[in-house]
This record gives sequence, C-alpha cells and structure tokens, in this order.
Amino acid sequence: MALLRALLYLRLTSVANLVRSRLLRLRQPKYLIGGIAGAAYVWFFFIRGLGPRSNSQTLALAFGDGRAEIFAAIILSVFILLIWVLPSDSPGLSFSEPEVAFLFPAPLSRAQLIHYKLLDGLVTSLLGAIFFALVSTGLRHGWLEALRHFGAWWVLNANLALHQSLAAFAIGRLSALGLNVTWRRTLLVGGAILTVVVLVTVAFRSGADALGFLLWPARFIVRPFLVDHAGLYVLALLPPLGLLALQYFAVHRLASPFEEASIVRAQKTAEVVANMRAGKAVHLGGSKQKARPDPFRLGPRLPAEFALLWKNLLVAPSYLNRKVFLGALVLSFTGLTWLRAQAHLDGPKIAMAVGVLALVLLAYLLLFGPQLARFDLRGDLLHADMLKAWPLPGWRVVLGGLLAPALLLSGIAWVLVFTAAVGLSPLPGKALWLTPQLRVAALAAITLILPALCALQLLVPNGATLLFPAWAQTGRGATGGMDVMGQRMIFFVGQFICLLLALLPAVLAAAATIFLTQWLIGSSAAVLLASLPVLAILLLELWFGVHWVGLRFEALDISAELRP
Amino acid sequence: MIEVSGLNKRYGTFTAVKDLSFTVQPGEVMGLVGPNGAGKTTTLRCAAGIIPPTAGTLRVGGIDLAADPVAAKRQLAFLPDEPRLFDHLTVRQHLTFAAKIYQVPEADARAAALLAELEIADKANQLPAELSRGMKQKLVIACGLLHAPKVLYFDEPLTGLDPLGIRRMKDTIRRLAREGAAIILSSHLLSLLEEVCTHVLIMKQGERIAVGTLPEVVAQFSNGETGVSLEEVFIRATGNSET
Repeated sequence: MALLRALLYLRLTSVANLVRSRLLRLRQPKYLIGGIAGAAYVWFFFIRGLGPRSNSQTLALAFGDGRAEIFAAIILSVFILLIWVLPSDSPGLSFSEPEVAFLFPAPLSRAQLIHYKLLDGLVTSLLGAIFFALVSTGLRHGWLEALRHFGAWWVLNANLALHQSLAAFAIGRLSALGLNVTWRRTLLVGGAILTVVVLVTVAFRSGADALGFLLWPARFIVRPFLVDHAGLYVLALLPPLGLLALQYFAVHRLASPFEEASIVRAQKTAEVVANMRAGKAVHLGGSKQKARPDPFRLGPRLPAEFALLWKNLLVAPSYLNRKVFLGALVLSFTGLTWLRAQAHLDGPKIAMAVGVLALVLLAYLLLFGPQLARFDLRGDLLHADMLKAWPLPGWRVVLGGLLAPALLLSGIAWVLVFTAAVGLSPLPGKALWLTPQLRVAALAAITLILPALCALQLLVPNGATLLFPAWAQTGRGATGGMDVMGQRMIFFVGQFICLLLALLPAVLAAAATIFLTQWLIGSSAAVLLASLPVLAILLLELWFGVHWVGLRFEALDISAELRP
Repeated sequence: MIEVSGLNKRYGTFTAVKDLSFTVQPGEVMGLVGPNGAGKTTTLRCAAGIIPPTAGTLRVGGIDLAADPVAAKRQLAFLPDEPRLFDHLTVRQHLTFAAKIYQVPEADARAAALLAELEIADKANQLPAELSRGMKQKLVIACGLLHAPKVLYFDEPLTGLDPLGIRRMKDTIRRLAREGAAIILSSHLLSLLEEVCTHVLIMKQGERIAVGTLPEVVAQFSNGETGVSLEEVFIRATGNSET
C-alpha cells in the first residue's frame, strides 16, 4: 500500500504541477497566442465535429460491419506478430532515469518494482486512451460515445503495453536459453505460416470459419470499438479485461532480471529526449551510433561554408546519402517502366497514381521538410556563442548552415519529381499536349530550380528562429502542450505564406516567358527557358534573405534570448 | 557494516568485476579508485542492490542483500554522480516522495531540517529546471539522507559543485562518518580521497589491486621511499593507466 500511495503521489503531483506550469506560462503572450490557436484547433476539429468521423463509423462504412472487425483484428494481429519478430533491446519494463535513481536503491522488492511499473503503464494507457478517444470521436456524438471510445482505447492500449513487456521478457528468456534473433524470427514466422495453413486446410475441409478462429484474441480486443448497444458493449469489454488480467499475471511471473537493461534504456531514452529537445538527429531503436566516413574531402582551400556543409552532412540522418538517392531513382524508373508495360494489370493507371502520389509528397516535402530538417542554424543555435566567435560574417554562417539540408531536401525532391515525370504518362488518346519532350523539359526545369526553392524554404524557419528566438525550439523548457502546438501551427501558416510570396514573382516571370516565347521556340523549349528567370528570381530572393538573416544573427543577443 | 565477499559481475563474456572482497566498518570512509572501466560504478551498483551480482555475497548492516533486499536497502543510500530528478516534482515534493518510499516517520520536520542544513530551504517550491547543478546535487543528498542511512555510497560526489559546495560536501561526508555511517566514495579526485577517506580500494580491470588504510596502501607502493603521494601510488598501482 505504501508503494501504491507513493506511485499515486508521484503521478498526481506531477500532473498537477505540469498543468499548473502550463497555465502559468500562458501569462506570456507568445504562449497565450499559441494556446488560443491550439485550443481553437482542438475545439473545432475534435470537439465540434469538423474533424474525421469516428473510427468505428469509418471502418463500418469502408468494410461493412462484419468485415470491419476482421479487418481491425488482422491489423492488430500483424502488429502483435511484429512485436515478437522485430529486434528490440527493450528490458520489458522501461524506467526513467529518476525512477532508476530513486527506486532501484530503495527498500523495494523486485516484485514491488514490477507492480509499480505495470500499474504505471496502466495509468499511462488511460492518458493515451483519453487522447485517442478525443482524436477518434471527440465530443461530436456526446459524452456517452466518447466514454465508449475511451474504454475501447484503454483496453486496447493496456493490452498492447502489457503484451510488449510480456514479449520482451519471453524473448529475454529464450535468448538466455541460446535462441538467437534469426532462429526466433524463423520459428515465429514459420509458426505463424504453419498455423494459418493448418487452419485454412481444416476450415476448407470442415467448412468452419478459419479466419475467425485464427483472429479470435484480436477480435475480442477490437470488438468494443464496433458494438453500439450499451449492454453488448459491457459484455464486449469483459474478454479484453480478462486478457489484461491474464497478461498482468503472466508478466509478473515471467519477469526476468531487468535492472541492467533498464538502466541502459533509461540512459538512452534520456539522451533521445535531450536530442529531441535540442532539435538534433534522433537515433531510435537503440542502435549504437556509428562513426561515419567523411562526406567529402574538406580541403584547406574550400570556403568556410563548406566546413558547415561537411559538418551538417555528418549530423544529418545517415540514410540520406548518394547511394539511397541513386537506388531510389533506379527503382522508380525500372518499377514504373515495368508497370506501364502491364496494360492487362491496369499498370498505366497504377503508374499514374504513383506519379500523382509523388507530386503530393513533393508538396508535403516543400511545406513540412524545412520544419523537420533542423540540422542547420536552428540545430546549432544552442552553441550560438561559439558560432558568433568565428571570424565569419553572419550571412556566411547562415549560408553554410543552409547548404546541407537544402542539398538533402533537394535530393528527396529530385527523386519525387523524377518519379512523377516517369509515372505521369498520359493514357492513350488523352492529354495529347503532354508530349514526352514537354515532360523532359518540365523535369529539367524543375530539377534546376528545386535546390534554390528548398534553400529559400529553409531560410524561412531559420529567419523565424532568429526573429522570434523565444518561440523557437532551442532545447530549453517544456516542448509540449496545446500552446506549443498552436505556436507550431502559426509557424507553419507563416511558412506557407512565405512560400506563396516567394513564388509569386517567379511564377509571373515564368508565365510571361512561356507566353512570349512558345510561339517562337515551341512549348518545351519555352518551359526550359522559363526556368532561367525563375532561378534568377529565387536566387536573388535567397541572396537578400541570407544577408538579412545574417544581419539578424549578428545582432542576436544570446544572453538575452537563449539563456534561461 | 558493508561486507563484500567474492563479488563477480559478468555481462555475457565480459567480466566487469572479478572476485572482489572488502569490508567497510562504521565510521570508515573507503575511497574507491581506478582507471576508467575499472568496475567502480558496477561495484557500487551491486553493493547498493541496484543490479544483481553474478556471484558473491553482499551484506549491508549484517543483512544479506540477496536474501532480504528490502531490509538491507532500508539502511543504505546511493548518491549518483548525476542528479536525476523528476521534471514535475518540486524540491519539497521530491523529499515527500522519498519519505513515502522509505516510510520515514515525521518526514516533514526532518525534510525541513535537511533543507535548512543544505541551504536550499528557499528553493523548496521550485522545480528541478529552476535549480542550478549544485542545487540539484544538494536535493539528491537531502533525499538520500532523509531516512538516516547507516551506509552511504557516493559516486563522484564533487562533480559540478562550486568551491563552497565542495567544501560543504567534504564536511558532510566527514560528519556522517563521525556519526557512525559506513561510506564508500568513488572518485577520480585523489586529493578528495586524501582529505576525506580513511581507507582506499584500488581497482583495475575489475580486480582489486590494493586495499587498506591510506598509510598501508601508500607503504605498499612506496618502495621504501618517503613522502610518496597518493597520485604516485595510484600511477604505480595501475601501471600508468588512464584515470
């Protein structure tokens, strides 16, 4: 009981203090404005009903009521299989660093620690269920519907959380018996395939519902989402609650020594959180960060900007490299060319859909990419005192910071544009104006202007960070909450407006060039020619922008803005 | 008070601590020194019951840590090198939480006295984010001393402290020893050990190189010379290994 009281005290006091600190910081206008924007978003989209309809309705509409349960159960079963198959260094029970420091040397038995963490996980599942219920149905259909969803989400979350612990302990025990990862995967996947084959064979011979039998545990867990009648809902909750109790008991019995792995995991988690708060690249999955080869030879005669490019390429995620980009281009070309040749399989239509998807992704990349690719001045701002000590004018520091993310975003954008160009081949007899020459010209023109566009897009959040340093994520203070969500939404809207303003003169120049020259040199050559004034305008905007942001950087008073 | 016998700790094929035995009596302060990777922190963690040993016996206040970990841990405090605190608990709330975990009677009065003694009473309602590194360290010490432990383990206790904080920390360790606590102190600062410790245990690659009172250990490596410093003894004992 003492432990339970301590756990309750820790959780309730933490939540109360968190809420209090979030409310108190609303006294600052930057958080108040963000809070209003965030609250309006939540109210209009999740509570008043402008957001998506409830998931049970969506599933039911998409698949029909009977098939919805099967579909949801298949997804859940695949997820559970992945928990067992995919490599994990999870200790089974994850403690935070303060929990390790306070609880491991404390007079608590291992059984008490396990109870503490399992109960803590169930409490955390409750918070997750509130969030998911809010997102999935909100209060659009009244409190009862919201409560129904809350209960369904809670039994799902809690069962999954306990199952992850159960799997981690079971895998740990199997490893201790000498079963390595390859054998484990082979046995599990093989066992799953064998089970499916046997059940399907039996069902085929006897006429039984093999799929229904195979999926029964997952069907029990997802059923509360899909029943509407109150009585049936309560009955539907009983099996997952029983499973929850069973898993709790099993984890408690199966728990093997977890202390060392918990300490290592706590340190890694603390490191990941610190990196996320500092806007640095995050290495998930517990894999050890490896030293990487130099991205290029940094000769002594190269300008200082190249040193920043060199450094930021090393900081950037390792999967963004030449080989991956080239591989994606080859895969895109061969895959889409093959698809377009498969007329009997609707290949051309699928290729067209892939092309459209690539364009949509390109739009998302240009809008959201600069917010995510933070290995530039934003990532270095915590070390601004060091940057400001360098014998470089501000604009060169800004320009050097932009090079790596602009290059890597351009690489992704080039792959997407190329995919769209290959995939968007007009169907026979349609869009005759979209000739191969025009597509090649458009591809060349867009390829030419993309790096400048990406750099310009990256300049916006960098400029905003220097202009409103107190609003930016610089690694200090809490980074969550409705007010911070609202701040990010405001930043995003600002980014979108800047994109439109930057593109407006370039688009006008391109339109004028094409209009004036296509009669003389043809539309393909006109498109190619139009890329030159567009590039010139974007580079001019970039030149002014970099110098202006550079001046802001030089004027930045670090002690006033970034110190607590 | 602290009895370690045949302690072994292995991680797979790697042996972090090998057949280590020593005792620390009430009133003694044992300095644990050794190059990086010598197994000091692993030894402290095993002795505090944070991680289980692979083999060996650990007794705290006469109680076997493996047989009755709860009773043994009730007598000890482990003070890590980095102050790891809950983000959303204030200074006072950390002490309340520790009091609940250790079931300390009259915890409020004792917490108030500790806060005053460590000069952080005015920070009682502040969150860790509002505290300096030294203040956080003081809070960890207050939490550790709340249940009046008879055995204390300090891992690099001076990290991040200012000169005044260092002096106060040394005074606190000496006072606790005078009051009868058995203390193990792990540090790379040999001057700290010379000032505070009554005994020294030198480790290298998980093994005990030397153990005894300071004069005994110095005599063991002085080769008949006089005025040999602990630093020189350390270098001779560990074979110029990196500290």
